[in-house]
Amino acid sequence: MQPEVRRQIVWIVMTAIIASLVVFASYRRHEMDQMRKIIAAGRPEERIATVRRLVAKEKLAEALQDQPRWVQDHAVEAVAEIGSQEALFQLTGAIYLLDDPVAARAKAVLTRFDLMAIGPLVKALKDKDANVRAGAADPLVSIGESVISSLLPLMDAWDQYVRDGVVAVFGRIGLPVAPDLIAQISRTEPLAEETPQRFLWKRDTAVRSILAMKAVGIQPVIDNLITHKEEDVRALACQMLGQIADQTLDSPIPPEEASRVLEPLLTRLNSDPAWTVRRKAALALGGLMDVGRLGGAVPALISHLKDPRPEVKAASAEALGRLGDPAAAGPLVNTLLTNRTGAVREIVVALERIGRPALPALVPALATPELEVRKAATEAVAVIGTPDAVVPLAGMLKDSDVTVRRLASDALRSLADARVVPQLVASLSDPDWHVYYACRDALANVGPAAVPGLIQALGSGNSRAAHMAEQALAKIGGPAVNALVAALVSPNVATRQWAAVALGDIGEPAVEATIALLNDTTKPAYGRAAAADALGRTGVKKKVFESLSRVSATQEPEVRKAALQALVRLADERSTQPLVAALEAPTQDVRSVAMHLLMNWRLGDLRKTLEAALKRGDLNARRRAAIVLAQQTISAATNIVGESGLEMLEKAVKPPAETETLLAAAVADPKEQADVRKAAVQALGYVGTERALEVLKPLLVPGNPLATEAARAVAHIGRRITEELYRSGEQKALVRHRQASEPARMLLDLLKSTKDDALRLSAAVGLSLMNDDPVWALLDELAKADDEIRVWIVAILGAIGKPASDASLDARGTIKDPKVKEWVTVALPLIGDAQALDLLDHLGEDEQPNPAYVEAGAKIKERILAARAGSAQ
Amino acid sequence: MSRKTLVILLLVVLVLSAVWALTAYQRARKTQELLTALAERDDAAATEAMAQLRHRGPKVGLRLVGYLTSENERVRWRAAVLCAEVGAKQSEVVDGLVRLLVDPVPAVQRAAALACGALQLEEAEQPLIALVSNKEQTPSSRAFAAEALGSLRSEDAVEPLTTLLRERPPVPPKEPEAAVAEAKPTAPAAPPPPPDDLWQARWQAAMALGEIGTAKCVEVLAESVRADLEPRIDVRMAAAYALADALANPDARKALGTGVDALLQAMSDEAGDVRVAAAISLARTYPPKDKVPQVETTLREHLDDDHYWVREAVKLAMAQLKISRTG
Repeated sequence: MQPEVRRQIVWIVMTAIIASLVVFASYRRHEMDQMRKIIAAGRPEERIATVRRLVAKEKLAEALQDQPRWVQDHAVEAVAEIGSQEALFQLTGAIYLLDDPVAARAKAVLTRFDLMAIGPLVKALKDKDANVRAGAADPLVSIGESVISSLLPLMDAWDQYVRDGVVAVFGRIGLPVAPDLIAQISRTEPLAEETPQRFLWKRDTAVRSILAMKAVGIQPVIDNLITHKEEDVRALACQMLGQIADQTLDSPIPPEEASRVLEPLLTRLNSDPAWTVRRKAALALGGLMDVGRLGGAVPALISHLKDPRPEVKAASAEALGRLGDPAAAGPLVNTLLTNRTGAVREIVVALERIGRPALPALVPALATPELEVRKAATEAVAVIGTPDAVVPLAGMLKDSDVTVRRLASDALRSLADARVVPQLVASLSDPDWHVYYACRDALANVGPAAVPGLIQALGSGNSRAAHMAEQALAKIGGPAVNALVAALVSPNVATRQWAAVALGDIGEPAVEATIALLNDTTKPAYGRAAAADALGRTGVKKKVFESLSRVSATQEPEVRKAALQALVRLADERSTQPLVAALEAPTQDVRSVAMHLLMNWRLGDLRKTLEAALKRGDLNARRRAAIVLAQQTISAATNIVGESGLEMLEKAVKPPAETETLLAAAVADPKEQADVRKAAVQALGYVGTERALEVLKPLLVPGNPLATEAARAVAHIGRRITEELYRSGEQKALVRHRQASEPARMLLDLLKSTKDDALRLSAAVGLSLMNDDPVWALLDELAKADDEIRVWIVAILGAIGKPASDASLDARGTIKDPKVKEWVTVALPLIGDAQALDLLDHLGEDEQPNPAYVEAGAKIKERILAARAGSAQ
Repeated sequence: MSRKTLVILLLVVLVLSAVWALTAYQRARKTQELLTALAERDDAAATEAMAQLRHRGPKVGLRLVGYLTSENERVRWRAAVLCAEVGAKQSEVVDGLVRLLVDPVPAVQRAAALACGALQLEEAEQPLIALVSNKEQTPSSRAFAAEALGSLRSEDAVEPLTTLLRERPPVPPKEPEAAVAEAKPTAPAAPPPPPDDLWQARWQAAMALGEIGTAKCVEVLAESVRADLEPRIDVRMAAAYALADALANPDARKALGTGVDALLQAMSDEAGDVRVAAAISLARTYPPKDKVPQVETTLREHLDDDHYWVREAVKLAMAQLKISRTG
């Protein structure tokens, strides 16, 4: 055959196949619609034939889904006419898709088929699809007794849903199936051919089936199980009766039916020899509610609070709780006091359930010496939680046991009222945090009535109690403001301070009244100062700034100082002006406070304001401004923050020239205020140049109160000089020529001359900050100094670190004196860099540094480093 | 063909025969086991066996003959059902089934009636008529018999089916008006109506009459759609549907007017399902010319019926009968 012809044939065949598939698919798509049309409007024989086809294809449910009523009805009629087992099964599976009236007719058809429908219905009951299973239950129930023999084998089916289906059907069939179920329940062991699992499943299905029968199931249990010779069966029977008759369910059986279980249960409770049975009977009686109360269950249960078995006692207690009869309260408390073993929890819960009527019986139990009883009683009272419980609970806040106090305080959190404020306030100083936090919350919830007691607690002297009281007052908020404002003028310092904190925490609602106090000059200054403090804490910048700013310039020094501190706390940049203005305050103490506050102030245009202040006011004010300005320099920031990153700070603005002059003058002026001189010494360290050394040098003498600060300042100046020299390239030359700078020499002299350990440390700290500047001078000094100073020198070298390494190694190589050489070797482990340690590794045993010297040096090095870190903060 | 080839062929034939014989033997054994399972107490297990037997086809029928006369009633009714499912119409089977129509056990009777109807056994007509007419029989047996008679399309069955359809309980009186009830607070409550166990039989009888489809059937069905005569909604609904089935037969056309009138009356039934059935039946029944205006008016009136499916059925009917919505 020619290829062209072959290709054409292939194309034709492929086209034919595709066309057939399309036609087939189209047919299949429309087949269902066509069948539905026939079912809707065809002749009876056509309808029956179509439904038969659907059944054969197992598509009956699909065909009926979402179909009109008449299609569903015709399909049901056709299935009734076909009557095959498969048709009935598929009808069952389709019931959930049918409209209610049609579904009812379908179920009626299945019921009419009676025995013929059992097989398909049971098959449907075992189906994995819950919708299919749902359609089987009603017809099976309607068919009745005949289904029992088919469902009994399913009682131990593997699938839970099958067993559930059996329970649902047996529960509705009722008495006809009861004998089989009772027989199963009566067995306590599996049969020979039965596995334990299957036995248990069967038993469970039987029990649940009886329970599902509700009131109908009562009599078979009473007749056959409750007097069974096996203890387990009797116990189970009691449990089952309790479950059937339980009146706490959503839809309980009628009380007259439930009352039928009373007598058998009471008989078991009173006379059964087995405690497991008595226990189950007690528990079952508990669910009977009114039926049990009116039927005489309460006295029987009360008498069994004395049962020798604790399990029965506990069950009786539990049951009494559920019945809720107040008559049981006394006996329950009595049992708690005298015979509670194994039933404490149940007794407590029972009393809680009885509720308010149990309180009179419980209150005496709160005072018992036995801790377990007090705990249980307190817990019960706490849970009962009515207003009557408040005072007894408050009494337990003083209990010796923390658990009791916790229980009481927790309950009072939401229950407390004005009657128990004193006890709650007293418990603010409880050692346990649970308790005092709970009391705090309780007092806050009590509200305005608690305010007087809380105010008193502010000044109690116990800081924790005061703190808790403050928090409670803050939580109370607005209603406490007036009392707190009044407390601001209390003669008690603690009261004032805490009142200020509380008002600050209250915030805006407290502002108006507090400002009124601040402005009331008839009130004592300490009160107004406290008011200022409070206002600063409120954080309400808008309303508060003006008042504080005005007061910081007008009122008494005490008030001014407080106002300045409050302005800082407000963190408003507008505060810069009044703070700087306060440097010119009439009194030095206000000026000092302003100066110290400004040292840490970073908001607003502080620099400009301070520069303006340099030019006005008296000398002291200008000096103070200079001190603050110096603190604001980059050098100061670098020293505070750390020693790196100088390059990035090169563009920083230097302070005005007169700053150093003012500071130097302040340092040199013995009549200047002590705090100003001290701050000026520090400030000189940040901004001073070599000229400043002249005024600092005289201070570097033992006994001078400014010596330590001067040593640090010298060190800062020295380091700054060294760094500038490095930038210009000169420092390397100096090091090469072993020339230390003047600051370094000054500090070294101080180190050698002073016997004061603190001063020596200051000098050492200063030297350690100066990099390689003092290294050669220190090494040279090793040759001349005594051992006491040598230890310091090696420690300083160690604190300098790597910059000292090269010089130390060089020196060791050139020094002839073995003693000096030894000390240089001691410096190496303290320096600790790679070079130094490497050399040590290569030294012989006899050349190793003296461990005692190293240890001594290490201790001092630690002190130097610690002091450096401390001063940086 | 050489000897060797012959021998090979012979061997092949022998092997195939042996396989076939073995398969047949096993199949026969299995069939026997399944037949034995017909006696199981457990209906579900027996149903499984019946399902497998069904696939063995009509050949099983002859083997079932003996089971139709078993002493065990379960075996008898299951055998009867199985005969219908496998389509066994051998004479011995037919005789057996017909004999079971008078079985003392109702379940066996029902199964036999079902089988006779499914197999369309004309020999069973008279026994079925006797079963349907016998008021001593259980309602479900009579229902199955009615159903079977419908399948047989037996005109002789019209009379007994009519009698059955007319075995209705009285229609309960309507509730008194509220004002009257208030005026007589001490009047005793109306007694509850007696249980209507026969409704499914009447339902089946209505459907059977629809299948038979004579003019007489139409008249009887027209009666049964009336709410003042037939108290049960399901029966009235079935009668309405059956009217359409009956009127599809040429024999019933002379009663067309009666049938249409009945359907029109059924359109005012209180029960929605009856109105649905009436509307659908009107859609299938082309009314005579003199009835067309009435049909149009009635259908239009029910375009806003309260019942959703009535509205849908009316729309379908109007489309089918080409009736416009506005007139």
